[in-house]
Amino acid sequence: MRLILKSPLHRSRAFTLIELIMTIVVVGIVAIPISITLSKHVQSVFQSQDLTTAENLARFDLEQMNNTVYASIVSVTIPNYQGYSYDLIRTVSFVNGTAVSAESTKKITVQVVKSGSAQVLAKLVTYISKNVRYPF
Amino acid sequence: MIKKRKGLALIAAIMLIVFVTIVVFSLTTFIVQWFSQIDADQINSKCLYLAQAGIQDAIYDVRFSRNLPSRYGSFTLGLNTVDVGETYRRGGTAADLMMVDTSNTSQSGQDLTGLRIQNATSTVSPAVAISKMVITWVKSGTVRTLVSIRIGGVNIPATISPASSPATAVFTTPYVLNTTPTFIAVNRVRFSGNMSGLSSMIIQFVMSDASTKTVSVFPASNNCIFTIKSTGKVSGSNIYRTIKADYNLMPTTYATTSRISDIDEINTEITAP
Repeated sequence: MRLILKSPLHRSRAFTLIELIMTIVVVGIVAIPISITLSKHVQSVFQSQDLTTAENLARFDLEQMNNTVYASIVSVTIPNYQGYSYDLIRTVSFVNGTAVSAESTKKITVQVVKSGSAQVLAKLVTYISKNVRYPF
Repeated sequence: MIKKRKGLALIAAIMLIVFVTIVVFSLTTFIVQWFSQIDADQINSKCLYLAQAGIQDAIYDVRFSRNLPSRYGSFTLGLNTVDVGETYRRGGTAADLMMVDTSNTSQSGQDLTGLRIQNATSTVSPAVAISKMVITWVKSGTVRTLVSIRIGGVNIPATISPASSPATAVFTTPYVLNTTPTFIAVNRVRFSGNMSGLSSMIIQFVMSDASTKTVSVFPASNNCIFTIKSTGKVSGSNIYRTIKADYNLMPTTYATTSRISDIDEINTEITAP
């Protein structure tokens, strides 16, 4: 009677232990790629924040150039642009005429990088011509 | 009781794995979409500024190539590269590309004189050709009818019907504005009698591609408007942005007052020439 009662209990405990070990192994195998993926997701969130901020800063600068006196549109590097931890690199060259021509066109390339990094997060390019006036 | 709980840990673990996998998969999909959206936003901005480059460059071309008083200058249509893989393409309808200078018009006897037209582009296609003119005028006194139209020193063969305002002159052969752009005088729009008492006149030019341009020609006004359309694109993407700008040369005060009189974004891609 004692043996009959004891035996199933022992078997049950042994199964649970094996299951537990198997479970730990299986969870461990699955957890590794999942944790790597999740870690990448966290990185992606920061990266997307960088891209969005850089894009907005580049647009902000080009809009400023659209509303700046033509002669004042020049090449410049501005660290920590607008107080953000991003550097703005504006490169200006003439595609038509020169600085002394009656008519000319400047090519404006705006690049934004994370301060201390060389990786360009956003880049916009446009032309602005001399003597182009708007109705507003 | 113990027997019933057998295998619970494994089942729970599998369920957890399935759940976490679904969550991770969803998160991955979301983040991929998110990045795709950020990428599209960046391309959108690039395209807008590339389209702007096309407009600005066209205005430079017009201003640089002007040689008053023989021509206002012109620009070219087609594809241009601003940077590697970053382009703009300029185009437009025939009506967009026709300049109509209304700064010098006057009524003289039975004629309206002093109107000048010019092709705004040196590009062959699209041809800027007038196929019909619809003329509407307001005049006190005796009623007059349209008799003839003389452009570039030649009376244009046309069927005029009706002849009273609004009169329609359908040209026998479309009048093509040349692609080495210089002013072409609309020497006269002749009526059946003296036009004194004329208070206003509007001409609608119907081009051979069916596009139209409506211009107030009398009384004279410091206007000569044409339209530039430019589409910005980045290679490898089908995203585009198009800007349409009306540029007024303001002929009597050209250098100081010429300006973009209207600028809008339109949802049409310029694909030719």
